[in-house]
Amino acid sequence: MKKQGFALIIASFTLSIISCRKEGCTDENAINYSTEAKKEDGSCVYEDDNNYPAPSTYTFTRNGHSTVDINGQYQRLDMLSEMVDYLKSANVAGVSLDATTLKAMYANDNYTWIDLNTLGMTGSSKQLKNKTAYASYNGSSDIGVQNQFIAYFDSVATISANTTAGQELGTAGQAGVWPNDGKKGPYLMNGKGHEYTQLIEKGLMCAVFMNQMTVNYLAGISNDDNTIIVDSVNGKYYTEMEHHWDEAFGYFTSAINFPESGTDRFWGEYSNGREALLQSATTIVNAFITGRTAIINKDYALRDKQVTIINNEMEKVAAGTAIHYLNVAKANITYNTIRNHVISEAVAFINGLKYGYNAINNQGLSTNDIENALNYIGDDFNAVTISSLNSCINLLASKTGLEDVKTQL
Amino acid sequence: MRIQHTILMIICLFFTSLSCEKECKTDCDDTVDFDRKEMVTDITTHYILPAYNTYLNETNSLSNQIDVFVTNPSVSALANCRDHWQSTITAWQSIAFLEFGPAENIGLRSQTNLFPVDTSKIKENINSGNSNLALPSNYVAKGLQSVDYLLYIPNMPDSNLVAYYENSSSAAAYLKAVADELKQNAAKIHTEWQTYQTDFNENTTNNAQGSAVSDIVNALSSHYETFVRKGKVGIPLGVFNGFTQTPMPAHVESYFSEYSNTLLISQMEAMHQFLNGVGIVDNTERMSLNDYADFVEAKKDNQKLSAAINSQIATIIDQVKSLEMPLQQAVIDQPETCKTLYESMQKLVPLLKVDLTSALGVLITYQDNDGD
Repeated sequence: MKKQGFALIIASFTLSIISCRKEGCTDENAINYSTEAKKEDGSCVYEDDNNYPAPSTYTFTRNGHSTVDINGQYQRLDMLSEMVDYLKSANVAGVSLDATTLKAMYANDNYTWIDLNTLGMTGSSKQLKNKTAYASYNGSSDIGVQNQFIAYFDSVATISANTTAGQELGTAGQAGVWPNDGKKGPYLMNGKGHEYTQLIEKGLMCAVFMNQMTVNYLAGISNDDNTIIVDSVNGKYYTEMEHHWDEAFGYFTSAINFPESGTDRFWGEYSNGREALLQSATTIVNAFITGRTAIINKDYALRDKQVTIINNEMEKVAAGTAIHYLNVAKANITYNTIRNHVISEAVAFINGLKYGYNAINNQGLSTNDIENALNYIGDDFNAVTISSLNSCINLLASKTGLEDVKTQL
Repeated sequence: MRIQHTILMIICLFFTSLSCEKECKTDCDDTVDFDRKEMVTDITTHYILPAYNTYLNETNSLSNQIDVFVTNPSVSALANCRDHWQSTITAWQSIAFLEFGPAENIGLRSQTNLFPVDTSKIKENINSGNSNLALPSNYVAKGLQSVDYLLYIPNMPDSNLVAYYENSSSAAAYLKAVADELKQNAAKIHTEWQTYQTDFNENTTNNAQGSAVSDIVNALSSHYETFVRKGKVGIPLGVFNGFTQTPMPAHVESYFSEYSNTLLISQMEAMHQFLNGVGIVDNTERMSLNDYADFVEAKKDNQKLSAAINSQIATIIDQVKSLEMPLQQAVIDQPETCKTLYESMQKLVPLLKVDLTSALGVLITYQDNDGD
């Protein structure tokens, strides 16, 4: 009996260790070994036995050759960077923008780029325009959305042409360069406080980068071949599936060592901007690395898990950043320049959510929710109220799981 | 044998239950015994609702007096308006730090008492005759500070001011519109609290973000830090004025009536009253945040945190009283006294923002949002 009793204690003690502990991978040999996990949950992922170690950065090789080629995405990120620099030059009154130049940049049509990173942008086949707003994987660019951006180019060119050096006359009802209001500025905006530079930059981040990443490449990844090396003679040591996964990553950041670098622009910047509260930057880059390793290991269930993580986190970054800007607008409601500047950013992100996988597939924030959120803000940013901004924030937060952090964002 | 069995079972149960104890992270709550619901209900019933009621009555009277004045301008009617403006802005000090729920939702503070007021915008609005006070760009041209200007326009003796409103129907209409809007906003918040109070009083199962206690503490700390310490004293004193720290006297509250000292005292007294659960109508002490702090035995340098907070508030009030002139002049003529006052005000910030919040397990959720 004594022995029996002792065994019972041991058993219950063991049980106690197993129960109620944080679940995760407890095997130190696994690539996703968690030091915090106390209970094995079957999520361990192992390195391939031969050539595929799981890297700490987005670096993958086959027989000593890199299999990651994201030059096309790198080019498009740099194209948008150059376009934004050009747009911002008109925040100085008297500088006018040329719509033809902007359209040439958008389509990479006969435009000579600065090409700071010597990627071969001038005359390359890569462009932003034909990658704008796919409705599904392997789809095609949406003419209506393209025309929206082209209309922005025309509008910003028009209002910039009407500014006079030394005169920052932008105000409610009057397009122009809005002066620094003690908080931010000057910014070129129309009379309703629409800052086209933000609508274009954040708009294309969503309609091209997030759209291509989630709707085109990740959504179509299961249709890709993962057995044939595409063209090792010409340096293409990757499979189709690997390459498409890498291209999705390339739209997130051109920095393979993100977030050590790459936090200076676009999704790298904005995911990292709310990192303390949302941890999206690290979650997304880890999902990309895990998913790529899963592809090498042909573990497609694990790969698909990462796709869902990335879709949800991208939505969270866009919505969370929009909420952040709306909070800034609330805090600076009487400062016309900064208020309209940040509302322009928020509106571009909210509208841009339409082009992500979740909205298109009726998951998370729906297209209807997005329209309602935009309606709360309205067309004239000079007429927003704290209650309309609050309604917008509440709607976004409730549909994207950000309720708990909405006031801190 | 039976007993042995039972002991064994108990030991086993003990081990099993031990393992389920959660690590104490954010939800850690060792203040479960304090009756938060009773405290919040007391605060709602005996402070918040009557304070909003008083403010609503004051804005009504102010609007009525202004109506009388603009209909038939006279020096005595002007004096009545000023009296009622003073009691209205004093009542405002009691609710200024309640910027959560219905007040937060319309940004009541920004719509009611922004300073400095933009006098050129006011003149512009009067001249245009069709300004929309709901626009954010007009927040700096409306509210109590706009009335402060309109009832105390500089370099205008009372008889001239009376003549001004006699001769300018658009100025009279603007003054009336501003007063009416104050009244309407007060009524709106007052009405919404009648239904909001039920959920608010029930929202007391914990002190997590969005709970009643979290809302109260965050709003109080945020208002004090940003709008009292910084807004009422720090900015006029020049503390936030770049390298030179040149005083900015025109940035005081109620610059034109030179009423800022009295309002600062009212503000601190209202906070004291709120923190100590003193009823607005009956002056009776009930459950309060300070009681809560005492219950969890919150200490500051070997004394009760509640005592430290109360004594710091008393110090601040004494120092304001020691100013020999209106704050706008004191920041120039008595800068050292003002700096001492500001330092005392600064000392209250961590007591509320750090000590009180950590004692009650409340997370600070507000921040200075200047964008990026």
